[in-house]
Amino acid sequence: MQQEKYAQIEKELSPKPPILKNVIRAFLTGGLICLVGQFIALFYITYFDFTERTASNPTVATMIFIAMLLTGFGLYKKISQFGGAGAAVPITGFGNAVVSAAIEHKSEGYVLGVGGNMFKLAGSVILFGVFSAFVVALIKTILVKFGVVSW
Amino acid sequence: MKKLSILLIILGLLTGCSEKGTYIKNTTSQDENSVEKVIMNNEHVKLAKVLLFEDELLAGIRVNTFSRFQKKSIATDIKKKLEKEYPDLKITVSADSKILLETEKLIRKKGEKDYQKKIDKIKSIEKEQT
Repeated sequence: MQQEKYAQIEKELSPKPPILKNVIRAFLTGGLICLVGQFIALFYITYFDFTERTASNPTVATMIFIAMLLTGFGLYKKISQFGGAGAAVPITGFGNAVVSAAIEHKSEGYVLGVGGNMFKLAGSVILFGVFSAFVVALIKTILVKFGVVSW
Repeated sequence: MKKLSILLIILGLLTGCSEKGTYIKNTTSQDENSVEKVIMNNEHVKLAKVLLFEDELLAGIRVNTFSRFQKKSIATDIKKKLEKEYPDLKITVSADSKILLETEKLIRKKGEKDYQKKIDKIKSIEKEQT
């Protein structure tokens, strides 16, 4: 009873988050990041021997590199504060999570500090990313075996 | 004036500008009309650049925006039809924009000196998986 009452009071008192504003900001920020990524992919396709399919790897690497520099100079923080999920969901958010954790724990030494804490946030992304890729590949393998779809 | 220019920019961005149709360069004695017929019969194709050189047929295609999810199957479909029309040619069809770009470069290029080398190069990067 007490808990329910508390939850009700808390709900009444806490300010409502501006959902629509946040959504629009996330849309614009995420869209801009993807636009930059598209330009980089086009650059690799035009000036190097990459096709649309193979250009994604160097593009991702470049985007993470840019995010790393922005994190180091303290600019990515401002982008995330404005964009929210729009800055966290693309691959740049992943790069930011790795690098900011590394910077934060640098004072504890390179092995136990940087090495031990670098993937504190990004580790779960890697774990569940690999696991869900495994599940999807398993489902696709079964479907191909039964002849529903083809590779 | 300012409003008008903003309106023009927005209209330009929304409509975009892209070429349409089929461009064929034929350096062989093969009949090229059925290439055009096969490609134009597919309603998903927006732009196609085709090069016929010796025993090679290289085709780069661009599909409509909303057909992009099926672009691979569209390309294989066209390839199969072309193979039926020209059984003695080595046919490469790709919906990848890189192939379109390189085929266009080859078509514009003067002289047929290192065509074979360039075509082999395009075919090898088209096959790359990762």
